[in-house]
Parts: sequence; structure tokens; C-alpha cells
Amino acid sequence: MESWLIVFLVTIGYLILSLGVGLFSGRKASASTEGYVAGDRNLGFLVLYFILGASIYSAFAFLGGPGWAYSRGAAAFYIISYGTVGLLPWYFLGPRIARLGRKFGYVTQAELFAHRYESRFISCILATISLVAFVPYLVIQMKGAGYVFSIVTEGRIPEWGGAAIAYGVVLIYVFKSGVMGVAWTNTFQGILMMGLAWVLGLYLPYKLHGGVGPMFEELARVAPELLQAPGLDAAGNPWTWAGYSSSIVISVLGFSVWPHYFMKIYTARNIETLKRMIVFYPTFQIFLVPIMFVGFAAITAFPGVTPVDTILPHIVTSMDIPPLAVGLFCAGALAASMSSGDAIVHAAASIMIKDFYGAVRAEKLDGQQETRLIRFSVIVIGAIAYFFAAVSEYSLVYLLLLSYGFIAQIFPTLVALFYWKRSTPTGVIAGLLAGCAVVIVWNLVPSLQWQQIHPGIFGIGVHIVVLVVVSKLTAPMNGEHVRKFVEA
Amino acid sequence: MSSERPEVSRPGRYAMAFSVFALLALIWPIYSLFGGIRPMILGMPLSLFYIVTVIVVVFLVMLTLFLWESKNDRLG
Repeated sequence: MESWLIVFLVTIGYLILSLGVGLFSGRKASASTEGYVAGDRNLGFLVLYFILGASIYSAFAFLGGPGWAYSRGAAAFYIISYGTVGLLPWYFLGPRIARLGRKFGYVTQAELFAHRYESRFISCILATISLVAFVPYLVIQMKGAGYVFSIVTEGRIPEWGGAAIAYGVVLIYVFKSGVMGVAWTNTFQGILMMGLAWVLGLYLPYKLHGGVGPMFEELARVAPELLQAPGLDAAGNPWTWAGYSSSIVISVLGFSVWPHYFMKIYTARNIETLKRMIVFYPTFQIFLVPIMFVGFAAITAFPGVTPVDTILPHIVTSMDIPPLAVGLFCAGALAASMSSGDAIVHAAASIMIKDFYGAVRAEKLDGQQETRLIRFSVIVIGAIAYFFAAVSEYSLVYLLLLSYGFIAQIFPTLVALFYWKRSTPTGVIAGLLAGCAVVIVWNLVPSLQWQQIHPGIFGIGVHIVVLVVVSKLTAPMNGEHVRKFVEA
Repeated sequence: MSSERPEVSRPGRYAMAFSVFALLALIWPIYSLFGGIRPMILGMPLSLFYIVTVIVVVFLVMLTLFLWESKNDRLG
């Protein structure tokens, strides 16, 4: 049999397995919106651990991580760092969010905010921020999947075809099984990726350099600037500490409020399960370490590969690796893309209906109608992202850069929600809009940038000032209502 | 409950303080003290070994505080 065919069959085998796991799992949740979006609030520790772990472990980590290590060296460590502490805010806020979710029936992030501030407009703003941040994220995942397919079949399946196959599978199981489909496929995909990361991360340095130690010794001799923190910037000059540190801070603030993560707080079986998952979460970051080894291994062995994100597939296809192993690699890369993509599609559809459509519509939707609409939106969101991934030439890198800056703006609002009784709806809205506006302006006007500090930092600064000043200038909210939240 | 805010237990307070410290440990200026190449430990440059150490320490400290807190919950 031709080797590309073996690779292809292994990849297809993985997809069929994913589909099976995804379809079968839906039987365990009820048909209500609470079942479809929040898994009847009954997810256990292991599934919760993998759903969050595998969602972050995206095509960006799997392909972009080695690309960063390859081209920017120690700068890539920022990717490991922010995930280590990114979920810790949940340790304190998570139990309160989960309790309120149970009490008032929330399944999305904006429902909590809209209730606390008694404002449908907040719901619309948050939904818009989420969707603007989600679409480019999803497009990147689809492009990654298409790319993997095209490589393994040596171009026999074009990128648009590969993206359609992989995301066809995702849409089917998300449509049918909702969050349970995401949860169980992520568990399967997460285990596959972890195993693969270690095999590749230890095998490649061994094969190319005789081990991890000798590899880093060689790099310390020929390219010490790559191993010295904080590594290099995108242009290949030494990155500033301000740039490195501020990127971590913004990512940490954004991490815990990414709407597709945040929603998973509601899915936990109980507070103890949620806290235990948060405690164990940093262990998932350890699996990014071998992924970094891959990028470092390629620096002297495969110089000059562009674009740098293709370095991992480049190594795998240009070395003499048995086709079965190449197939497993492709399955792992697809798993990385799909385990993030499915969570995003599912969250985006839920947010579009519950937080946007639900807020602008006068009368309330009934549960079954709502679930039907969310299912329908899964297909719509998938189609929009697919259009950008396969058809449009429009560059989304710019939008992606904005997204973390936008998402991080939700963090001050979350803190005010629980800790500052005097915060008012007008203050919160003004703060959110001002923060996002600053992020946009800072990205549009490069001369405003200073020391490569992440624009999100300036956004957060302005956001907090506006939030405080406007809240003080407007009438306080009803104390009885506010107490339900600050004392939750 | 008469107080304005929910009572935060002792391990809970430690966990909050520790979280802030863990973030600070990963950025400038603390990380810049450990951002060099040598000594190489377990085959990794110091800059990477340090990050791995922080991950392990965050896990172990949070686990300890979590177990402490759940023991308190059971007792009282």
C-alpha cells in the first residue's frame, strides 16, 4: 500500500472514532437547554479536566507552539506560563459563579452579568465581544485542520476539502450532543494529544541531536539568544521584558473569562469537583514542554522553514518516519484543532441565541425552541467560519490579535460584579466600551505603542478608571439585589 | 450571615495570596533572575527548567491548600 494511503486511513480512523464518541455521549444529557449547554450541571472531575485542557491545547499550541520555539526561542515559554496561573482566579470566583448559576439557572457568562446589572444591553455587548473574538479563533483551527489533511495526502485532498471533512465531523457531534459531545471527544482527543506530544517531543530531539540535553547544549553554543528569556520578538530582535510580561498578564486575565471556558463552570457536578479540577489544571501545561522541544530540535536541523507554524508537519514529513506514526501525528494535530473548535462552535451558538437573540427579543423563548435555535446556530457559525477559512482571502491575524485584548476587558467587570457593590450598569458598560476602544486605537496607531507593551494593558487601565468614575457619578443599584451577588 | 462578604477561610486567603505570587514569579523582575541559560538542569536551560519548576510548585501548593480546606469543611 502506498504510504500516503496508510497515513490517510489512520487519520480517517481517528475521525470515525471521534464521531462515534461524540454521538454516543449525547445520550447522557437531557434534551433541555440546561442539558445541551451545561450538561445538566453534572460533569465529573476527569471530563472537566480534559474539556478545559484540550480546549486550550489548540492548533495554535500544537502547530504554533513549536513555531514560536523555532523562530522566537524562549518567547514561547509565555504560552506555558499563562496557562499555569490562568485558571487560578476560578478557585475563588468559580464556586460563587457555580452557586449563582444553579440558583438562577444561568448557562452562559452574559446571563450572570446581565442579571447582576439588570441590563440586557450588557448581554448584547458581551455577546458581541465573544463572537468577534471567537470567529477568527475558529477560522485558525479550521485552517490548521485543512492544512494537516493536505500535507498527509500529499495534496490529493485540498485544504478546503480537509477543513470540510474535519469540521463536518465536529458540527455533527456538536449539533447532536451539545456539551456532552464536546466533553467526551475532548477527553479522547486530549489523551491522544498528550501521548503524541511526549512521543514526538522526546523522539525528535533524540533522533536529530542525540537527546534533549545535547540539543540544548548545541543551541547554547550556536544560538544562545534563543534560550535566554524573554527570547526574540516577531521581527527576530530581542523581545522586551515589558512585552513578554504584559503578554502574560493580559493572557492570564483573559484566560479565566474566555466565554467558552467560563461556561464550563456551570457544568461542574459540585464545588469540590470544580476546585479539584482547577488545582490539577497546571499539570496539563506540562504537556506543552515536549511540544517546545520539537521546535527547538528543528532550529539547527531544518533552518529557514517558512511559515514557521508549519515546522512540525515539515519535520514529520521530511524525516524517515513510518507512515503509521505519521498518521498518528496527523490525528493528534486534528485532535488539537477539533478539541478547541468544537468548544468554540458550541459556546458561540449558545451565546448567539441566549445572550444576543434572547436579549433583543421581547418574549421569552421556551426551552425546546431555544435548544433548536442553538443547534441551528451551530451550523450557521460553522458555515461563517468555514467561509473565512476556505474561501475568503481576508487576513484574520489582525482580529486574532485584538481578541485577547477584548476578552481581557471582561475581567475587571467580573471583579466589580462580586467585590464592588457600588458598581453600576452604566459604569460597567462605559468601562467595557472604553477598554475595547483603547485596544482598537492602540492597534490601529502603531506609534502609540511603547516598549512592546500589550495594548490590552492600556485598555484595562482606562477601563478601570472609567468604570470607577462613571459608577460613582450614577445612582447606586438596589442594595437588596446587589447583596445576592456580593454575598453569594 | 451578618458580614457583607462571604467568609474566606484561612487556606482560601493563602491560596489567593499564593496565586498573585505565582503570576509575579513568571514575569519580570522575578523571572529575569532565572531567565539565563546556565546552569542546565535535567538537560534544560535554566529559563525553561524554572518554568517547569513553577508549574510543579503551583500544583503542589494549591493541592495542599485544597486538601487542607476540604478537611476543614468536613470537620466543621
